[in-house]
Amino acid sequence: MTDLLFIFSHSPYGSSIAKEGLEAALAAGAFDQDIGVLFTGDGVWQLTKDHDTSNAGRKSHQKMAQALPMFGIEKIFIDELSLTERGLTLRELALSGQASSQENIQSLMASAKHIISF
Amino acid sequence: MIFTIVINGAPYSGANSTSFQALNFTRALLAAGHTIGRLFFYGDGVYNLNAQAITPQGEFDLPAAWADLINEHKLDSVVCIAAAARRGILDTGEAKRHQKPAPNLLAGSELSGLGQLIEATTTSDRVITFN
Repeated sequence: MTDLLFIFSHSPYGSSIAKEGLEAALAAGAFDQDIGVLFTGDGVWQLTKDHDTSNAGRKSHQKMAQALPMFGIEKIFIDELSLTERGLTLRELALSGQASSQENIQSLMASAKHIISF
Repeated sequence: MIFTIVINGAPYSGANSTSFQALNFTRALLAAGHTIGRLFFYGDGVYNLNAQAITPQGEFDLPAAWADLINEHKLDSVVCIAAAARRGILDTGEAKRHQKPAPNLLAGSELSGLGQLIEATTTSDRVITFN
């Protein structure tokens, strides 16, 4: 049960939405709320290690994702199927989280009071 | 029910402008007697409140439609100040503070922080995001 579940489903640098989503989640961490975050679809690319953005004209926002636990957001869920589809494993990620099945994700979403998706 | 609507999409973006859908959804909620707790414009959604946008004749003027809806129903409409600043959507205070030539935020909305979004979720029955 979470008060607020953030769902991140976009790749990190294709647009600004990933970074602005993370900013919103970190801001939510300052409130006395039970917050969860779910990385799904291309959103799992936000968590791969060692982003090199030198040719992207963008600052890496990997540190922001890694800062989630420091902002009191410890419920971090990662869509297991999305990882598998992309040939990724939890060990290759820069942030530890709970690998979640489709069933887990369904109940996570059903029990969240509110969902904000980015 | 009390609804918070999060608008993340720019006007006139692609075949399915989610901002247009957000506008129609908000209108439908009001028509059905629901309450809009807050509109929160974030990301590229801040462009919906650009007073400098000029819509070609005969096309739907999305920024004007938002401003009309907000003012007609006196909706609580907040634009994320950080998302707006990096996209050049400024009110009088911000234009002055950053020494920019002119403000361009449509009247009826205010620039404020992300805390306004989180706070709105605590007082709303439903939060609907349009990406």
